[in-house]
Amino acid sequence: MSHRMTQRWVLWVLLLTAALLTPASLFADDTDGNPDAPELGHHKLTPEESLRIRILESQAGLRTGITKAQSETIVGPNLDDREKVIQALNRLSFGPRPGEIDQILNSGGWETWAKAQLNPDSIDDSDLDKQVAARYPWTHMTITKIQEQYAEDKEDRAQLYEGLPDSVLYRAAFSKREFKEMVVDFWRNHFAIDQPHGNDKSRSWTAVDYEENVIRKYAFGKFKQMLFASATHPAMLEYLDQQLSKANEWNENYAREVMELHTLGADRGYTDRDVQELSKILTGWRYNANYQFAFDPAWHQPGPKYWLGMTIPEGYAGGELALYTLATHRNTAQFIAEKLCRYFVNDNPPEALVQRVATVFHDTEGDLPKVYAAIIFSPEFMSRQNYRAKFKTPLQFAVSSLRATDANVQSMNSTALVIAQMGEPIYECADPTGYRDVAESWMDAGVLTKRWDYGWDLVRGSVRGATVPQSFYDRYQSLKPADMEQKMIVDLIGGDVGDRELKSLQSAAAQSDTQRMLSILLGSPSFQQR
Amino acid sequence: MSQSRRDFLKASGLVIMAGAAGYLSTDQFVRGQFANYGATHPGATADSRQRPTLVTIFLRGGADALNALVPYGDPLYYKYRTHIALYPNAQGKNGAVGVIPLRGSSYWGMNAGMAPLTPLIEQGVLMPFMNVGSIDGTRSHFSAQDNMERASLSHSGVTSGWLNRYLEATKKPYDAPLRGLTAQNLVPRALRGEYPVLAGNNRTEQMDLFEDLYNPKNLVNMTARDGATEERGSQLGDTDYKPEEHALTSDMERDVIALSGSNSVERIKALEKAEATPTNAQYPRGGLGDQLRTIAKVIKANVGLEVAQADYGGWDHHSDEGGAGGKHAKMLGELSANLVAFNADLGSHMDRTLVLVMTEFGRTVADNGASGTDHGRGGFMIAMGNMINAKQPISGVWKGMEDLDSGRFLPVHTDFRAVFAESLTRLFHVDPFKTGILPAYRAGASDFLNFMNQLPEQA
Repeated sequence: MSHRMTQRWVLWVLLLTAALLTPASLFADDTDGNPDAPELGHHKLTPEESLRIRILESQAGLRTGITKAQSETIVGPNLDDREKVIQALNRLSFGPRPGEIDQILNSGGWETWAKAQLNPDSIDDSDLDKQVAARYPWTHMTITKIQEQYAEDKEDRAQLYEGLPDSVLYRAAFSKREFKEMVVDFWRNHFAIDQPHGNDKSRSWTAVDYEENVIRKYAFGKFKQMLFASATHPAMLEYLDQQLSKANEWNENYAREVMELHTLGADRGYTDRDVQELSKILTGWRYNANYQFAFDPAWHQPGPKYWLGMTIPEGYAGGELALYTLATHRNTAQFIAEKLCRYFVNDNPPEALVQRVATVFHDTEGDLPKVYAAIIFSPEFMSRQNYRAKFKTPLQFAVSSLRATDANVQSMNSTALVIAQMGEPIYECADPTGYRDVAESWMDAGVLTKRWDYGWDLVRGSVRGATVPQSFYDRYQSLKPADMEQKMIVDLIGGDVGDRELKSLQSAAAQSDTQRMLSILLGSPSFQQR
Repeated sequence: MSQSRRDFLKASGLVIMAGAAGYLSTDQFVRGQFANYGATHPGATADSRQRPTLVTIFLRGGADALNALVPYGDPLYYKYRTHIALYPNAQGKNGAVGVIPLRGSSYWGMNAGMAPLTPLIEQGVLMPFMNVGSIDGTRSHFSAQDNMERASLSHSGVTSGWLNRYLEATKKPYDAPLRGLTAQNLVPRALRGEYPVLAGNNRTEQMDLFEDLYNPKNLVNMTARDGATEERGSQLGDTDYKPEEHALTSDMERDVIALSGSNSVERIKALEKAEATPTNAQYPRGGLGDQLRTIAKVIKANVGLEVAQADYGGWDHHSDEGGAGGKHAKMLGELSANLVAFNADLGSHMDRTLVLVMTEFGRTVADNGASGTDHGRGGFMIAMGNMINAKQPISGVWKGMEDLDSGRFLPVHTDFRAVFAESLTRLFHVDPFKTGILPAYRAGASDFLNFMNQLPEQA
């Protein structure tokens, strides 16, 4: 086929795609008319616009390479059933609780568990819901109500900025929707905002709503919904200065970061000119006195804009079209797929897997449960190479410690503080980039001593608000030293430990010192792996 | 590390850091962690190591050059800065003096928040630069900071930090344990790489047990474990069994973690000893002061500290940057008070200590509608030390406010790597080009700004 013919053929396919693609709204979930879809999605994508997006991708060569997504060679012996459960709990939850591995083994194995976890609404979590409602009442309030109750007084505001990290950790440790908590951790970091502790920023109280109504709400929806929800949320509008961006004096902060950090990836397929043009497109995207999104035409830069090779019309619709273009762009699929695979599989994710996941993302317009499933049920996920190959982040380490010890928790404040000291304060990342999800970011000479101390303090009762119950130790008390250490290794680590760790454990077990054994294990190199 | 393990790492694609994003490979990381740096030489007395020290202060977020070093004699400056301009007398929005002349210059001034620096400037130990930056055009914070700390360009394949490469290039079999240091919770990119550097905010009261658990002797068992996995493989009845594929990832990862821990033990002990040194100045309260106080203690303890970095974040003023007495002025005030304290604290140690203040890029020449500025290109730096050669009030190439890049930014006339190269050459007497500390950077001494004098070679 000649080059010209190929081009013509591609064009026909694109036209056909465009004709079929006429959603009711760009940001509604068109598969089931999800009532939770943002109400603001008024703009309908015309076939012409849709076509332009596809041509844009085609020109950028972005659709090439999709088909050569084969699986690569899996190295090493298969994981046995028990190891598979351990891998699933290490990667898809914040780590096993005592007895959880056996429980999953005895009720259908890891796949049954994972399938249920992929549908979080199917899991009864009413105990936690009650706890959350009682401990963190703002999770059920509107922003204006939160403002009424908490914004005026300094101590009330402190409740919010101590309470938000507290709630994040509490849910991570105790929710039965274990996978949801991991996913939420990912998106919270991806669409990062911070929660200032000062007096002047409304983010002190809008951030808690952002957690509920952007991150948690759409974690199992479509990517474009979460993108749209974040773009129109007062916390994001304020955080990246979109609220201040006006005609002729536009602010580039959000326009740059939405492309660099939220969708396309740094320097991937856009220029500095595109940053300026998107800034103009989004002028007027603001929130009103009730903290509701309201496009303000008086702030909007008049005239059409030329962005990413397309002409974007003036007005609110132009902004929706731009965000929709970003959400469905092949580079976005690639960028998000890579990040998700890094998070769930390996710091250096297998290329073939990334390609397959990116394709699922792209073909489903970012239908997130389908994207997650493409990762979880891949051979790469359950392979020997990727078994216990990730280094826990500070947050993952602390929460997994609380889970492994079956800790009773009254308050997460001290734990949140330690996590902050380890460099990962919750809702306080210094940059909109979020934290880097690679071992190198967390494994310095020195930082392991802090984890070591946390395990030690937790066991000694020196982590305020968290205690290891006597029932934890009771399981080991009557055992012989050799069985004692073996059982504790199986409960906390799952597999084996290093020789040095075993020796230390043996000497503590010989004295039946279960507290010391537990401290050693929590602070050991093996427990830092997941 | 046995050959099979190393091959396995490469074959399996197991890396601690992702290649594409420019992170270290496990292989590099492991080599660094395995090296015997910091071991005490049988005959050496560690306390006699007086070395020159380079201290970098990174202002994260892209500090606004034109709101720090102000061409107040240029009418164009006031044309571009309609909301946050600084005036040499009490005018402007809140009627305060916003800018003070730099060494009597009627053209150059500095933000009045930096007034504490005046004596240092008069003594000639402090030198600001303008129009410094990266030839890489990225205006992403992440990429620009990363480029500057790696002293490289985007997508160059260089993964380690430039200060770490200095340590690696000049290492000896028995190095002082604290040749590199940061007094923070985590090591910044500039100090990351093969050479182990301590993130000095970490302690434990259970050091003995920790030391026992994170012991290099664990490595003796690695060969044994390689053997053990071979055995295990045959037990699994795998007929196509290849031993080199069976060195378990999880074991490998554990060893890397154990080594990382063991590397910290000696360094933490050395730091604790050095921290007994008294402080001779009053630092401002806050993170930067705490970091500099610790770094100064280690320098004064003469334990061989050569490179250290302190970080000061929050300079991304898209809004509310402020004119006279504004937010930016206050932050510059904190920075200045810290430089003054550090200089006083070190005393004669400043003869061999160079401080470099840097930021990833400058900002738009015009202010935006929110009394802030957006990401730009050319920026500023400040150097401080007794070896500074202060002939003019300001260093770097300046062609006036009409000299703009894309009509919106200060251009980059000096590659920041020229400043790094001059610092390394004249402070440590190393050739930063031949040693590969500044890879793929084609430059020479003729590119130097000559902002400092060569330090006499030490015995």
